[in-house]
Amino acid sequence: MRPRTPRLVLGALALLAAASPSFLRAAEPIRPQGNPPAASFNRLHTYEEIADLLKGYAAAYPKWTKLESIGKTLQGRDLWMITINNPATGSELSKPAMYVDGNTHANEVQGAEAALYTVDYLLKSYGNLPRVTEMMDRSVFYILPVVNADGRTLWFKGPSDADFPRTVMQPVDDDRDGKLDEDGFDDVDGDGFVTEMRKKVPMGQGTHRLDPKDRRMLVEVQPGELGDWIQIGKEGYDNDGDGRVNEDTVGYVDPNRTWGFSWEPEYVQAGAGNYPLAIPETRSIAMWALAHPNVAAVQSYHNNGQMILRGPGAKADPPYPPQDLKAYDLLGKEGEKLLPGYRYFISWKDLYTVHGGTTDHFFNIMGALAFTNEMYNPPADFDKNGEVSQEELMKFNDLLSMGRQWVEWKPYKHPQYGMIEVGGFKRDVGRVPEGWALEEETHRNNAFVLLNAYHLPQLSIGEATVQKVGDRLWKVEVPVLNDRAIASMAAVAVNGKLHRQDIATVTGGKVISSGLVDNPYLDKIQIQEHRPERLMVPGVEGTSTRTLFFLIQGDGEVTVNYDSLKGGKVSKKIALRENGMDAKASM
Amino acid sequence: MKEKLSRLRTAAAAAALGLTALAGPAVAAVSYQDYHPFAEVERQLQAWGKDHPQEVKLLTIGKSAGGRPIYVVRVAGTGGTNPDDRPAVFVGANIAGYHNAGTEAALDLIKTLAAAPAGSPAAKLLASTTFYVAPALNPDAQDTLFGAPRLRRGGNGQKVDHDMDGLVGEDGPDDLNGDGAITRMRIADSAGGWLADSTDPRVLVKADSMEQRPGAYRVVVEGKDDDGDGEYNEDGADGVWPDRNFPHAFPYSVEGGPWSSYAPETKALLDFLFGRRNVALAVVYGPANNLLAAPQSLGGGGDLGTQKFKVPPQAAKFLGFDPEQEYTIDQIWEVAQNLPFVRQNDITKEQLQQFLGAGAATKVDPGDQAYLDKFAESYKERLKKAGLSNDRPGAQYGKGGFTPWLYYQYGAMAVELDVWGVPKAEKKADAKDAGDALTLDKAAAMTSEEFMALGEEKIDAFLKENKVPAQFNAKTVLSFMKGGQIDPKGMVDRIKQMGGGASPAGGGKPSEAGARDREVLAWVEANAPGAFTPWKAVTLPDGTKAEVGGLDPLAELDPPMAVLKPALAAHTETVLDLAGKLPKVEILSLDVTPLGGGVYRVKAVAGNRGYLATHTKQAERAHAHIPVRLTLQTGKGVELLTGYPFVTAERLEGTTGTLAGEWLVRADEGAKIVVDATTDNAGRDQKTTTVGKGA
Repeated sequence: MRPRTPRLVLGALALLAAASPSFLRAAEPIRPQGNPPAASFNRLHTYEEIADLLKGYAAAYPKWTKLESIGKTLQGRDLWMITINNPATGSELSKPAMYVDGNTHANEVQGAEAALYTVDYLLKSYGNLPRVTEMMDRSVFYILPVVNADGRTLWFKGPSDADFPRTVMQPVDDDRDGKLDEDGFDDVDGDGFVTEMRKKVPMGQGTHRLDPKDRRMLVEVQPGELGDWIQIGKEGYDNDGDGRVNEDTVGYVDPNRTWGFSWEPEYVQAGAGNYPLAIPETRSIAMWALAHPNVAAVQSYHNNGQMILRGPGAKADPPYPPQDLKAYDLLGKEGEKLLPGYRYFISWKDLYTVHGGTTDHFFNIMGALAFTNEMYNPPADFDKNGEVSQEELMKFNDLLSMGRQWVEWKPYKHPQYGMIEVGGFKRDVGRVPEGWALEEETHRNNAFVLLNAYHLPQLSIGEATVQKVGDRLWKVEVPVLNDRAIASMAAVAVNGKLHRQDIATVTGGKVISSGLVDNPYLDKIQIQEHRPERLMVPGVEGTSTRTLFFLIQGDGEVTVNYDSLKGGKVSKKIALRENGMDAKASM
Repeated sequence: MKEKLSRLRTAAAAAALGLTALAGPAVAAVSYQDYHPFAEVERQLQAWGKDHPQEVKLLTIGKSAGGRPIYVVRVAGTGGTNPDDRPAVFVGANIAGYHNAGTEAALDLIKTLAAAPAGSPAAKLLASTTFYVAPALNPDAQDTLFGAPRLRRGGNGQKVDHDMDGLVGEDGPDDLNGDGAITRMRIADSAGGWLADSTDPRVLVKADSMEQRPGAYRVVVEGKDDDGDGEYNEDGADGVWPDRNFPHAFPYSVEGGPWSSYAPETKALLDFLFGRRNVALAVVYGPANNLLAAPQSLGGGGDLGTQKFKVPPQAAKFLGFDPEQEYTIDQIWEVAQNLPFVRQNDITKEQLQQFLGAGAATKVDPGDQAYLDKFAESYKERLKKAGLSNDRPGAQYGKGGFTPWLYYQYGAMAVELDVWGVPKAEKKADAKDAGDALTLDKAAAMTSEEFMALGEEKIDAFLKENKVPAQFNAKTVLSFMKGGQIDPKGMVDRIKQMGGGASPAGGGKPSEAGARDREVLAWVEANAPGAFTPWKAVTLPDGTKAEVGGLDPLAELDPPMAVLKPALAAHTETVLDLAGKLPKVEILSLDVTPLGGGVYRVKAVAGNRGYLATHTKQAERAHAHIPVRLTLQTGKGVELLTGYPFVTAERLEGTTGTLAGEWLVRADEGAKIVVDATTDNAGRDQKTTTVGKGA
């Protein structure tokens, strides 16, 4: 044992140096050209404001960023994606990548701020924070803050509320009368908010009565009680004269139900659209992703409920391979610590069935580990019973928001219902934090993204074992280490043949035979029967070593090259001389 | 033996020279010169558009992966309703890529429609019906029929790394024997899973444990292992298969594409058809035939008839169900439909199914199959009249196919027809496998008298069949039998001792495994000579010895034009016949009864007087179409006193389906009462009556 120790230490040092170029030289903070945008993360931004901020970052950090529109929405808005890559450490596609998007659902707006926060944080932290510097030197970040640009715009402009709009703007004949989107919400009182409508009726004709504790709210009558109020619903008219109010609103193609994996038609999965990725927003991303197979980890922000979600989306979907669950569970459970109140959940089991979800597409088609964070829950569970009631929301409004979140009831003459009252909570209640809480929410979610990025596969080639087995003939065993949690090729991708395997080649010598070493001590090797010069490797799992075997004819020195779509490329020179590194020699 | 040696020598020499093909004349290939290559299809469509500018409109609905246009020809009579609002038939051909017979059938249909003389049945049909005909839906693969070499290709021009080795298209097939076609290659391999048929060694059959048939060959596509990975021809130019890229039962695979609708051909069709909901009936000309063999399920769950559901606890409490109990959809709906919550929120049965997690339908609904069965009857009759085989096997469509999508998701009545297939062999009266054929066992069971009664001719044939040496002819046997020196059983025992018996030795029965292939081979030899290439030895560059040969890859789908011609006509007739069966919404009656004070009761009945239902049962389940709508026009002196001016029905059955609407109106004298009935794929009708003094 003793003689091995120093060599191991040296090897580990060499390995560290090779793995992190920042180890040996101090990285300088990036010096912006002009003033970088002074973004505030204690407020929401319109789509235009976010586009301007992205342009600002691109202008201030031209060498490090690439701003591109990867497609256009139905209404012609650009899908702005910013790429952050250190050009000094290699090209984009040669490095593992983290993809982040937000605001897929129109009303789930703060994902865009969280995504934008990461852009700002990365560019300003490089050279200051070693952990961030290392990530930025070895990996690429692709960030698309607003997926549903049309929907975000409508949410800000109105008519909108906490739940509407959710989908993209593709018109759908929801009530199947041959007319598209002809009976949506109306801001009947013109105050800029879609709130509730209620009506006082003669005693006995109602289903509700005023809450005796708070007359702003109605309570349902109990058996044995008479009611004198009815709850009509959201603000709106019967615009199309069919006896129904707000039954054919804008949409409904749900951009988180249109993705390619486990897609089911509309009658099985509401919001599916006519076929997978039938809307330009998600199709543009899917096509972009096909051209960026280096993406190994994904975050797609939603709200709400404080969850770190992974697939499968549906019970009938194939179970996740245990090898991949190791990484998922590590990240999910660590995430629960970074995000107090958040729970690491499986979509179909802990939440509900989702066919055609974003995370399933990225995992089951692209072979990338994907999470959806459901951001925020109103911190108003004052009685700590696990649920936030209407009363508690009202208390939050009164005592923390000082009444800002509530629109007082006002009388209004409705064309169908006559005299009614209009009022209720504003659109940001329940799903979106107020400014003072938004910044913390974005930072903590950003920390989870950076945890994912930290665990992107990091490959290095260790000390090879070289043994002479004949004239100019060498048996070489090469350990390839992945010291992070995410595999260089996910098991789901290996099993489903989703993309090519990692490829190991040797230059400077002739490869007579090659294979994968199952056990270097017992000499168990799976020989690749054909084409030994191009060894196909089903990835290196997270925090593990895969040992390659080569029978090489040659002299002097050869180079072993390892090329992984998601794990990057590494090479190492190996001297062809007995090095006593094999188990037998050191015994 | 000598021949074999010389072959080996030649093969070795060829290998030494780095040649792959064995020297020798190439077999004369089948001629497809009468088929239309893509450029010809294009030229023809443009010509028809020019010749019949009023009736024929050439639409380009997209581009293939290889950049070729995807055409749909719209044929409709002039005048009247906008063609895109008339009930329509969609005919799509050769999305498979190798089904060029379908292209020919589609062209024949367009020609017949475009050139329909005034007053002809086709012209009459065109006055009220629109045809969308797409003759070449997979243009990147279309020309492989004529290709050098010819091969069966289903994929478009997309670059695909089939074997996932990081290299694209590096190991395609090679025409090793220079016959112009990519056939098959067999390599001696006891683990290969194939062997030569015992009846006809040219045919390959699958190894089978239960039948005690050991494997002898590995069978692959003809060609070298260009990339040296041990696989033959696993990564050619073939791209994504559009006919495996549709979203019903989509197979996640390299050929199927990363997601359904990925192939531009598929997406173009999806967009085109979703943009035209007037299509009531769809015919796909492709390799399957649903009228010769009823469509089978492509798997999955979601059969509503038997599926049972647990009502989620919260909803169960709300709706009054036991959350532990399992119910069918009908049981749940019976209770749920009358709950105030369900009524007030217009919750439909379909939404409830969705909420409970009912999967997609996987079987053709019996109500729709009943129509298909009727189609099948008249189709087979028509084939028979045209002298075409109507009892040959019909293939099934595949996962992610165009036809199942048309039915299950688009909601059209849809059939796939293969236009032509190798007919079943006609059974000759004296065929050895016929029921009355004289086998050894049958003969052994006969009395001497019965055997002698067969007569000299039949006995001679029997002896010859069982390889009895020529000196024992019928005459000798008969004289022995007459003399009592031998009886039929004794004779059969002797024959068996001598090693006789009909080939193959042993059972005396031809092998069942190779039966259909032998039938195909026999047909090919008689009708398409050159479509079978005899097996020939080759030596591959890596030294592997193999044999190349077998059926032309397209022989079973695309026959010589002379053979195909009558089938084209029969299929054009079939489509015209089906097009006459479209649903047709009409107003059957409109009655206005005065109730006094300028108040009238208006009662209108709409009905479907077409043969097909307005919607398939599956369309109803999938909500693929909007309901039939009967509307009373208000305004202009007509005021509705209560309710809403329309009624709807999800589906009107063919011939008998009706929808009635009743309204109370106040109308000015002389005002017009107008009702109209419509649905997106069964046309529109309107009726008017005037409120007068007499009314």
